[in-house]
Amino acid sequence: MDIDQQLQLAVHRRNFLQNSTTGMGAIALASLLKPEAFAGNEQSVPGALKQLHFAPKAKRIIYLFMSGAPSQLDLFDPKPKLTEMTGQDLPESVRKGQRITTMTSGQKNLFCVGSPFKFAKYGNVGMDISELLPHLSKVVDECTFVRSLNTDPINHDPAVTFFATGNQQPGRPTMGAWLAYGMGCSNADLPAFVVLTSGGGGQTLQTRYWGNGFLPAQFGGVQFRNAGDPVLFVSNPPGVSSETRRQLLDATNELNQQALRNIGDPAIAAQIENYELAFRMQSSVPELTDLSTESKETLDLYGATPGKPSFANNCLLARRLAERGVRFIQLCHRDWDHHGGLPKGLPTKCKETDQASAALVLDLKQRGLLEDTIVVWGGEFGRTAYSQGEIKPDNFGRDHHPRCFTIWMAGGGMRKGIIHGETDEFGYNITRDPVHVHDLHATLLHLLGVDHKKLIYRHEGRDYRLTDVSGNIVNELIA
Amino acid sequence: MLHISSTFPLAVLLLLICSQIAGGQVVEFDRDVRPILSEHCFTCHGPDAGKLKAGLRMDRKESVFSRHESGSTPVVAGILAESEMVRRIGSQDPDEIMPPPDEGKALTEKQIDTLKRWVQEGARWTDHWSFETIKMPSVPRENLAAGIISNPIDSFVLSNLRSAGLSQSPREAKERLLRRVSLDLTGLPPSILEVDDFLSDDSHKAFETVVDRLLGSQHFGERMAMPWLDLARYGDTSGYHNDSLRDMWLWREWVINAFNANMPFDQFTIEQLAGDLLPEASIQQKVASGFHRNVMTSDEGGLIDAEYRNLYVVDRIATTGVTWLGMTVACAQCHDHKYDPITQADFYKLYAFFNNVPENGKDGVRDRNPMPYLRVTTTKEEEQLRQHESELSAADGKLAELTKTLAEKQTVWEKELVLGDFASSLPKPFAHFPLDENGNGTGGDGHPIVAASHGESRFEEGSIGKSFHATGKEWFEYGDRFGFEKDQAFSVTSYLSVQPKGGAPFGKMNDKDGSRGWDIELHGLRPSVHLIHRWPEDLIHIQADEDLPAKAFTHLAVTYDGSGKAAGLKLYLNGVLAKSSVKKDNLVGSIHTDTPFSIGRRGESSALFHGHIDDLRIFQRELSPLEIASVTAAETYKLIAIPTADRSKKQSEQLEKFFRQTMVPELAVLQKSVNDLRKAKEDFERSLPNTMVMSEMEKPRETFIKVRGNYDQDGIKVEASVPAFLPQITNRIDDKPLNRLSLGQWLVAPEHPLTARVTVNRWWAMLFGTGIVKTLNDFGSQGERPSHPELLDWLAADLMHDWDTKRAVKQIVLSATYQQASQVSAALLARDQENRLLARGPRQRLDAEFLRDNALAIGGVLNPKIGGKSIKPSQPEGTWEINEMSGYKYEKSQGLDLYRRGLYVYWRRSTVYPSFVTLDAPTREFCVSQRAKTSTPLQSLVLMNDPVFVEAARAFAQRILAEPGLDDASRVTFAWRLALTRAPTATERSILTRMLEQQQSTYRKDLESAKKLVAVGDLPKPANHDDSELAAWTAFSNVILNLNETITN
Repeated sequence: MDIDQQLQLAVHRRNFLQNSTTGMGAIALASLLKPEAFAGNEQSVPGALKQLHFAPKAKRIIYLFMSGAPSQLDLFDPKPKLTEMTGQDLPESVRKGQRITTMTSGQKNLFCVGSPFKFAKYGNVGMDISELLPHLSKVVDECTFVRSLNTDPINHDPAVTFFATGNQQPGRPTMGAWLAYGMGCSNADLPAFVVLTSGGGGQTLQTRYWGNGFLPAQFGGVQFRNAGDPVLFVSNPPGVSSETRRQLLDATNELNQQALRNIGDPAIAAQIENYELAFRMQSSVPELTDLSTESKETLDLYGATPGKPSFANNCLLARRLAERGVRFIQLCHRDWDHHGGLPKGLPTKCKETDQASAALVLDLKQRGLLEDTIVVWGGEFGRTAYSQGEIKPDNFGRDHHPRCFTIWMAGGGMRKGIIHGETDEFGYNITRDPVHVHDLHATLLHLLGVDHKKLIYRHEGRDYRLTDVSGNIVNELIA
Repeated sequence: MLHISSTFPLAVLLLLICSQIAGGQVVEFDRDVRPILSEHCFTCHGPDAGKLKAGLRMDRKESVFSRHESGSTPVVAGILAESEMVRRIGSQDPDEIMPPPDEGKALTEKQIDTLKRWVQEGARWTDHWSFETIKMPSVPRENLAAGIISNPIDSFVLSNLRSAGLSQSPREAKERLLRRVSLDLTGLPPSILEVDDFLSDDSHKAFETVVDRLLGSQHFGERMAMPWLDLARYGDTSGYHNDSLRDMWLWREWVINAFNANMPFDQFTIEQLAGDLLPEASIQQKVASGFHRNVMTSDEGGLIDAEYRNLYVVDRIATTGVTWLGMTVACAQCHDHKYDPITQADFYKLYAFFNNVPENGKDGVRDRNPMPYLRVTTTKEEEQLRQHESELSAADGKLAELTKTLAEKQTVWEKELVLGDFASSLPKPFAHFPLDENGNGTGGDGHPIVAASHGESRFEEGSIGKSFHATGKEWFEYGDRFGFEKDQAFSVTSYLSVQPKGGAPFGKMNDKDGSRGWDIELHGLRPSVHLIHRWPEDLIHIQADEDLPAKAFTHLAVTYDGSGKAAGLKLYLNGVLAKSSVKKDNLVGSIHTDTPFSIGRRGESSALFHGHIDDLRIFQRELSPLEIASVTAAETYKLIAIPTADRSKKQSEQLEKFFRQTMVPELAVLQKSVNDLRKAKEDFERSLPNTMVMSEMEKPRETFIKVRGNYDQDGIKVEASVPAFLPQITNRIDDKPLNRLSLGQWLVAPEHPLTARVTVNRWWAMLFGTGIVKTLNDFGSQGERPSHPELLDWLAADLMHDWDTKRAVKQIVLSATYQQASQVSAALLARDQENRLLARGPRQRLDAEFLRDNALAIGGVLNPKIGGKSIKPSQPEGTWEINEMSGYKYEKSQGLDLYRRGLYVYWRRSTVYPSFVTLDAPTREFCVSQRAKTSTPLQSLVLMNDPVFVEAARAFAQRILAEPGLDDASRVTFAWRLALTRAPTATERSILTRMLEQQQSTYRKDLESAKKLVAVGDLPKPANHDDSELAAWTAFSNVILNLNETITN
């Protein structure tokens, strides 16, 4: 293979972030063997899998992660029994000795507390939606509600890590990283996995929640930031114009080509290509993140204001990323952890997110993108039927509850307008169709055309996968 | 392009293996057969007792060759027809065929063939290579490919090259070789002087001289420490949840020093695992034991302690496993290992070694190290500490002495008081408002004072009897009483119970006339006193330094001496002079006003009071501290009348406290000095560096197997011990349980098969990019076999002679193999893309920290200081914002600290320094034995635009321009040599010159842009510099710092 062949190869590399000199080299090269295999074939993907396992119903996921855990009892799963029993102890026959956090395990009483918010039924299925979510109530027929989600951990850090990676302790790749690794990105100029954060206070975020785990770093989520460069270091230094950068890059490339000619190391060819990709990003990223090009109608639909960071802006940006083929778009909105002050705190959070979440579903739909985009909305666990601390007319709180909680999804091959699963009259235990986090992961991968048992990576002698050794596809959720 | 497929790393090895087998070589069990059995059979027929099918273990010789209950024997040596395994793997019957189809692990034809041939050839069984004792193999002397042999390493490599039909590459050009070895051994490029020295040294020892110099450099320790920090998951923070800040840099410094002092690796191991348990352990040995304290810990509210403490112990086992055993021991946490002979019991026996640290699952601190930690001080600091201690103990002594006499003194005082008229010792009130049922009071003359009542006043539970509850809507007025002038002394005392809404409980103030008058006012819970002529200039304002407790009665007293100065205004809380601050001290005019004196408010509308007021007294003079105490204690005095024996405990305490506060003023003085000295000592102690260390609980915790790994489900009890499949600890001195020290010593015992192999393999990977065993962290049956097994054993056996780290590293870099040119032909690349056969020299992109170091060193601004606290270089704003729970702020370092090495950059595990993450640094949340080396456009953006690298480019430009007597052409050469050691070729020179001229022309035309570019970074610019020229050279330098050759060793 001579230098020109190598350069030609480099130019053919079309996988953003997927050129590596260890570990993933094989994949990068494999993709070079049959570049034509990726053209116009729905089944093939530019990631390690190369071929999908099933015909995909969706191509990408927008995951709206509500950090801190919203209360299902006040938003999606009303329990008249709790209202009736407010101020009375949760019967032990309900709790059955199940563990609770040390924030409430010392409380003398676990008093039931009903929701102070009004519920009404919406959509053909008659889904109960709280008055706090007026926008969501209008798109119920597009959504799939799961009231029987459940998870293992009872504290935030391990629970978010578990939702993200299928394991409570750090070290495993996140779902987005798995997809970036396995499926790549259909857009050569953008990362496969993008993260957008909003809100402040409450529980913290950690980069681990979108980390690569034991996969090479290029598969980790790339944070698009609210201030400064949207992507780190995408702007030229002050005083360096785009023309100047082009001149400098030309010189860099010419000198690197000399090195390639002389040394022959394919890593040099990869670097040359990466500098070209980087240069393209310098114009494509600002264009992508500039919301001012959106129509007033669209901005109003989301409640977005260009230049003013918000969850709404991030939802709109998520749609733009989806349009451009990004595989996994993860939004994190903070401060849903209502141990106290729920009657005031929850409405605030809902106001920040309701309109934009519903707008995202509507906007994707009207652009024909909802067909192959899955939107997921939910927290890391649910909240308790009993109050943390005293119950006052205008103030009470709910502790962490992993045994059942509600999420909703829309689009991408999900069965529309259904409610899956059921909880007992206290909203404490699941009475029908439990869906574990592993099951949700398996189902989402399935919709993307991936067998969760076959998206694996060998690390330290063991084959790992997102769903660990569990996970059942929930067929009832699939259209 | 089909030949590219042979560049698959696995394919290369398979190809080699297959060609060897095909070439008539005998099938080797460990090389050819076990990997197949491990991958395809062990899940159901392996070490995991929970998953075992039919009682057959394909990892055990005795099971494979014996007759089973079914009547069949899996393998009968030499006889295919009688071997059940052969029958089953070749079966077409879905109920018979192995592996079962639903396992998805079907064998290929080639694998079936290999297994059959193995049986046919006699089914020779050997144990897994890495569990076999290390024996020094003989060095191959014959059948070597042509090449230079510098030491035995080359003989092994050449022997392999010959088998593969390849030959050694020529020696690397001297400039490139020097650059490679300098970056490999110190993480820094050579200086031009060092290049010239090496170029001019023609002796055959020239390279060895360089290597010795580098091994002697203090930067060697830093370079070696970096991958060790990855293994030790070194971080400056706790990792979980709010990711609290901690101090572990003393441990990091210990590692650097240990490498620099060439501490033998066995000692290095023992001190880090058990330095605290060594006999008469030194401070430094204890510091070393911090290795296993740098596990991530959590302080998340609501967590269950046992759950997290379990995590910490598990992390220690996982890390020990990967670091020393090169194995994933942690797999056995929940069940027996699936592939390697580590049982769940083995795991919990190891657990017992690490289960006795006196730590909590909830670490409980957010601004310092959790226990146990160790203070590490200099002699001078120890002297200062002793000084603090002796001062404190002297003051403590005096206090104790005084305290001893007090009981007697109190008795005397009580007697005197009972005898005398204690009521007369109370200062006479000018006016008294009990506020028990109405606003009326008594004047100093004994005449009643009648209040004008407004609103519906309520009287509720008070401090003495009832109290007036003001809600902002009710108050009492008293006309022109208490209209003090600024030269009149007066005092006011009252019990107040306040609320956050605050307000003025009483006062005489004209809201409309510049707030003239006087008042007490609560701003929130904090009391102020005002004497005002005209707000906001002409007044005295003092404010307490602390809040009053909300909704509880506090006795508040104000005394004023009529001096017109803030110094004459004093605030007492509960009878004791309160610390207060002077907010304004500028009273010139009169404070008299016609606005009536009020209780419940101070004037007409402002600062309405919310809270309770009780027992208000107003005096026409300045009360003394003792009088204030008496007023406060009017109730207390009554206690004296109760006979001592009849007093309740509370009454006795109240009386004693009162006596001490009021009658023994020197006690408070002494107490204060003790408190101050104690605080000073504690502050000093906190300022002293400390580091987390291991220690053992006096009574060790019991260890139980945890059922399915669940932290709250104990199974059978186990004692500390090492895994059964490895050599056991035989030299037990007594019956005491084994401890971490036994474990450390066992890891470096001569019969231990893993530690030396794993260690030397990691150093090999550090220098060559890939280990002899590629899977650095898996030497088990699922790991890759060594590319050069004898070479690995030779290196390991050699290391175990003396565990001499520097000698081992030196030996590798002195090999002709290391010194080969790294140029690669297309043919060789196609044959061996990953350079596993070592027919060429190594070539690696620099690690994240070294990329930064390299740029700063080329720029001439690297601060070479060794060790010390972590630094915080420029980082994109907002990086820490996603985890700001404890209000931590990233405060950028100043001055020379900005230019220290990347090794010292503050490592916050939840939000690692962003450019490092992009450049493949791990988060250090868990043990990592090898970093991936990726190449991505995001990395290009870092090198092009990160202000740290742009500043390095400017530094580089300044260095180039500062070199005297150079024209542009020689500057280009100088720059190129600084970065790349060698001189530019003619083509390179012409590209560089053209680019430079472009930039000079650009920035001469655009001075404004030039100024912007050279303003990046904190580095001072030279006096009289030309902005355009500096900008052009900065752009030029930016290109050089981005070249593949610059970022590669």
